[in-house]
Amino acid sequence: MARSSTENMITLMSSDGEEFMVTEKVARECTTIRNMLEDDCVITNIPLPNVTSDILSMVIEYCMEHVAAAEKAAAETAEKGSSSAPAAAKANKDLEEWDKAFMNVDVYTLCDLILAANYLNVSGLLDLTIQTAANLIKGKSPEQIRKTFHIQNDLSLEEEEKIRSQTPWAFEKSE
Amino acid sequence: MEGGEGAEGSSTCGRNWEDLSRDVLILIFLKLGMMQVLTAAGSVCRSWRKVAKEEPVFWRRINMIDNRYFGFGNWYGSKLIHATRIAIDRSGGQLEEFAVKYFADDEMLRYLCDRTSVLKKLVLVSCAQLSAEAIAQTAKRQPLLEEIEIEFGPFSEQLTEIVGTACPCLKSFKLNHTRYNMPPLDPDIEEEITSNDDEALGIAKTMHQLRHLELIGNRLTNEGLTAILDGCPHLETLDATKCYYVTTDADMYARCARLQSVSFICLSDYGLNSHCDDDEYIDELDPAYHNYDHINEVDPAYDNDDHINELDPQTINQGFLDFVSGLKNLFIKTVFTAKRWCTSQESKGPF
Repeated sequence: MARSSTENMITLMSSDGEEFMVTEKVARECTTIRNMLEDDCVITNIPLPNVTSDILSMVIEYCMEHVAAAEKAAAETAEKGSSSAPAAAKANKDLEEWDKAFMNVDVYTLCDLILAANYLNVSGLLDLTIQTAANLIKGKSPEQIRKTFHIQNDLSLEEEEKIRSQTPWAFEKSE
Repeated sequence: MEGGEGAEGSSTCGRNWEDLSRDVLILIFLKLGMMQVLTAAGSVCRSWRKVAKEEPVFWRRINMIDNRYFGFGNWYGSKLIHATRIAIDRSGGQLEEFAVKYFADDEMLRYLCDRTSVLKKLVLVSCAQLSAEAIAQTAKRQPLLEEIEIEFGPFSEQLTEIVGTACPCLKSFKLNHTRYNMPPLDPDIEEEITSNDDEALGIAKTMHQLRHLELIGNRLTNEGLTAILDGCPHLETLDATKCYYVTTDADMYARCARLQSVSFICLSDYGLNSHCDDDEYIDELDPAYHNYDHINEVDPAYDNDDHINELDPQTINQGFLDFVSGLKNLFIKTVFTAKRWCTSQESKGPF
């Protein structure tokens, strides 16, 4: 993306010590970082001890893509005086497609992305990842959900028996 | 039935779905909807089950209107009732919205009222087993109710007055029938259905805070409607579609002028003067009312010419003038009737 030389650059440091230089605008997509910048405007180096480098690079990729899309839309609006509805719809659709492709990850990465999006408070990414997780759960039985997410069944036989006797239908597929 | 003994966990990377924080799990479960949380998701593991069971946020609104589950696979009847009761239990007395289609009965409403008293919205659609008495009792035990919607429910002449008295905060009231959605029969024939203003007068007498009112297919007359307009000074929207005993004359429109939107589509007295004859009102109608579904529900008896000829020409003339003035907004039934009248009079109408 085009970067003006006057734009402030921020360095984000992952838990494993890797540094990522991003524009302030991209960094501000993370509400957690935006709040830090607003509290202390001279801050340029932000350690993120809860996010690994591979996940942080993905979060940054997401933020850059969405900032670029928003900038492009704003530029088009400024150029033409008003935004044309079909163009805006196409841009939205493109971004949706990009999001969809971006979510083509394994469940472990998805879990990490949810945690990172929650911690950094990137609302768009959090919504996207949460929805992806929900879609993976929908229509599955408890056993199928465990398999999908590699969750160990820690319910004791007694607990499970209790659920089964109280709500026999709970172990069926719910759709 | 699933084995239920659990898959061998392979989560060695320390990134465990079962360890997701409560906040995040709540977000995911909210996307799933109530029934999924109640069933599969809530039985996956201890941590998920704890969130599903103990977070009242999932159980403040019980919506069983979306009946994807009804009659689908194994989801019907007693299971739905059972599931609804568990949802009521889990709401921990904080249940604010309760919406059920088909399977709510008196016993379920009693169960609900024994466990919560802060209900704000009650929606009961096509619950054939429900008695008017149960609805009245529920209203008495849920004094905070702001919205009530009863569709194809039980009928009782005193119900609106009891509900209105019990729920002083009521802002939206919908009492919709299909039973009375046909125009009155030929007056020479013994009428099975007669007009009745009891429900309307009950509303007028008690529901003074009302903002939105739907009385589709009600038997009220102009007298009942006038009483409502006088008794409900804050009323903003009114839907009195299929109320065939209401005559929408200039006087009635003048009375309704203060409302933000009003819907009448009716054919009273066999005449043509009861259609919506004012563009101003038509434009505010819900687009749904512009479809012709209503037509199919009109008694075919009206299509025979005999009683058209028996009509008082004065009524027809007046009606015809109204008809022309509101031409673009008319619905087909009226068009057919008028066409016949024009033909029989050899008049050169606008057709």
